[in-house]
Amino acid sequence: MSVSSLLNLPFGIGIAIAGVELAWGLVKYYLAPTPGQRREAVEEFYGVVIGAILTAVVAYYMSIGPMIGAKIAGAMGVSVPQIQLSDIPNEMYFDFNLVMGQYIANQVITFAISAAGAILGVTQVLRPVGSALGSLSGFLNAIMAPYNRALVATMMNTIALAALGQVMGVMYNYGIGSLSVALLLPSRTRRIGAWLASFILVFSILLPMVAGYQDALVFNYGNVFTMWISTIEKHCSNNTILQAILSLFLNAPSWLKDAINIMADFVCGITTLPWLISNTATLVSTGTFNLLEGDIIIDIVMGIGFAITAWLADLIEAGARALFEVRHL
Amino acid sequence: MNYTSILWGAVGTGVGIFAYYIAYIVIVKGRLRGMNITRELYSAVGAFTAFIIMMSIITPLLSHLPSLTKPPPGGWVLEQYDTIASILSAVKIVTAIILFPIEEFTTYYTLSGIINGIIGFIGGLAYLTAMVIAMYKALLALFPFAPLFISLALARPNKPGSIVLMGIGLMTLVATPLIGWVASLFYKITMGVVAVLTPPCLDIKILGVVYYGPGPALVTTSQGVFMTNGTRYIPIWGCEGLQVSQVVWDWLVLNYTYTRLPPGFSIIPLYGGILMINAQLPFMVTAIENSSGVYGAWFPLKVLNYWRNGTGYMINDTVFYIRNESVLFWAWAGGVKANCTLAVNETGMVKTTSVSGPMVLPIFTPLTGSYPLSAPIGYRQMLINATAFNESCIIIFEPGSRWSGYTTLPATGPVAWALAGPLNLVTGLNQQWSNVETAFTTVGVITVAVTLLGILLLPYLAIGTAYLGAIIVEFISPLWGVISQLLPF
Repeated sequence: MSVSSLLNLPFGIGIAIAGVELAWGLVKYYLAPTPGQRREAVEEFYGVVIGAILTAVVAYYMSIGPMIGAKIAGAMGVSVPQIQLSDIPNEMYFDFNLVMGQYIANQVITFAISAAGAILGVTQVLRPVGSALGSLSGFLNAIMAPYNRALVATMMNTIALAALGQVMGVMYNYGIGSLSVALLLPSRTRRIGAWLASFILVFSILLPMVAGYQDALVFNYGNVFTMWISTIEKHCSNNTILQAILSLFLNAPSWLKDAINIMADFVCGITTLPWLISNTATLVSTGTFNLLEGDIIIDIVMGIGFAITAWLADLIEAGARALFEVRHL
Repeated sequence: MNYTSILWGAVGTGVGIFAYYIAYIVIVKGRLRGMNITRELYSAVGAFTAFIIMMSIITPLLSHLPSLTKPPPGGWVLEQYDTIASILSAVKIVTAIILFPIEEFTTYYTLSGIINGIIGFIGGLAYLTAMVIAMYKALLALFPFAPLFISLALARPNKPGSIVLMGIGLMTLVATPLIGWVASLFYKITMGVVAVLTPPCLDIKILGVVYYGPGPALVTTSQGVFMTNGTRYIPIWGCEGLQVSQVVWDWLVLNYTYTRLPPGFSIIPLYGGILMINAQLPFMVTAIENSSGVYGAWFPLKVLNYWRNGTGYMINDTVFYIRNESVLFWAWAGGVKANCTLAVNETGMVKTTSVSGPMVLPIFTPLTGSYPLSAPIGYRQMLINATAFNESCIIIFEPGSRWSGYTTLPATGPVAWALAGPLNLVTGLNQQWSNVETAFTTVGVITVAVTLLGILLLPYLAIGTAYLGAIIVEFISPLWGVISQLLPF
């Protein structure tokens, strides 16, 4: 790390605050009118030096938090990507989009098949086809119900993590980590400083770690619906009757072609029912359970994170009092 | 997991934390900075003692709790749900295809509602089970850190964060085995219910039925029964063969042959070919019937005697006319009467049988159609010798009880399985009832325990540890005073 990079945000803020702290200590020392007060200032200066060092360290610590988080997760046997604090909202937004996309695609296809069934069912002649399509939409709805619930839980988690990431990102960019240590020095601001410092200490590591875990979960199990459709498409690509029917719609509008494609794939899947069921059950259930488990782990870990923040805030306040409180001689 | 190692781990972690903490208070605050450390020291020592006491209480308690079992496979639970839900949904599709040509919309919607109910129930159960298992797996990951949370909480007992950490630590230590136990119970319940609902296989076929013979006949197959009137298609399990075991008409057992023709090209998905049945009595008969059903049958087997100008012919399906003839009739009817000499003998020339409709819950029987009474009422199988010498004779065959029926929804194979679903659910839950009771009782006990712990116990943690610390320190201080007098430095 070059010296000039230290001047960039947020290191720059940390170093600037540390410099101001040291300067203030020196000013107090030189302006002390009596030897007793000067000795007090010397003692206070030691505290200020420690505070200045801590201030700069916290700025650095915030920047390496994602790496520490990834290493801790790795030590616990979970491989997570390193996500910088400022990138967490974007990453979570991307994950949310992906998961929401799956949820919407699932709902839209179910609705489209159901609606097509209802429309065809209006005519007496095509009523059986309409009802079969209605049942097909029920089929989709039933097998995807647990996965949809897991997707909703994942969406809620990504929103919460994105919000926390937003807060942490702003704190990181504006040097609140360094400021929180600086706030520990004066007794009037010690409590808020302790809470801020505690929050930053805990969540600089925990949040990237959890966000990385969430990202890995979404990457692995967030697109089960698409994978499922692809598997059916692949399975049905060799079905000559299906291909012949689809070739009739080559010049149809793309939306109609897509809709017919999907419905034809499902009908083809239904004709090979044992394959469809065993394939669906394996693919969907594994993804659903792993998503659910991950969601619960994230909820518990975040709860513990807040409890440790509260616990640590008190400890930091007491520690700061012991370090920075000057005995009046 | 070994509880002894957990205890040692917990004690080691706690002793380490408290040693650093007490040393910091005594050396840094007390000696170096000369601060008044009495209250803080009391709290720290009290917390340390409380920690040791707590671990001493928890350890024997843990040995009485169920051991930490391997988490049940939650993915397998959802896989079983998906399999059953898929098959039930496929039954709906098949039912739609079968029922709609005969415009039985109400039957379809009723069956659809039943299937949705079953899917909803097992879906809820499977999801709950998967959630509990997932929670157990998450808690298992947390379990080794529980002593750390407890010691952290006790180190500074009078703070809100500590109370939460204490709750997390204690709950993790005590609740993890309990939740593991509850997860196993839920798994057993779900798997018990799933086991009774599991279909024979994943392959469903629709079979076309073509019947040649007197009708309506009741056809009994290895996958269920159906009436031939109105039956065009029947759903069957593709993995099981279909054997016709009996064809009955008017409680008379028919001779039959059947063949299964393989499917050619069909636009009907899951189409499995045609079942062709030929059935007949040993001889041609005249059925006594009207639009409401069949009431018997008869047949002039043989003209025994024939005199000059003898004649005999059928007037309608219940009346036969003879003159100067002696005729032997076979009849399956309520009775016979004539204005000439009749010699009636009971016979068993044609085998008769009692019948039963589909084995479904009584509330579902309207969905399957209408079936004949199980046994004939007032029927007699007779050999009748009617003799009319030099006279005209009208022989009247009296109707027996009505044989009629039709099938709307053939309760065969997968449909019979789906209609048995609610009963199977109840059976499965009954078999698992003790587990259901235990699981929900345990959940209740855990909830109450957590509430009581949170409301009553934790707020007093700070006061308790402070008093305990004061007692210990006040006891050690004089002792230390005596010992320090003995030390040379």
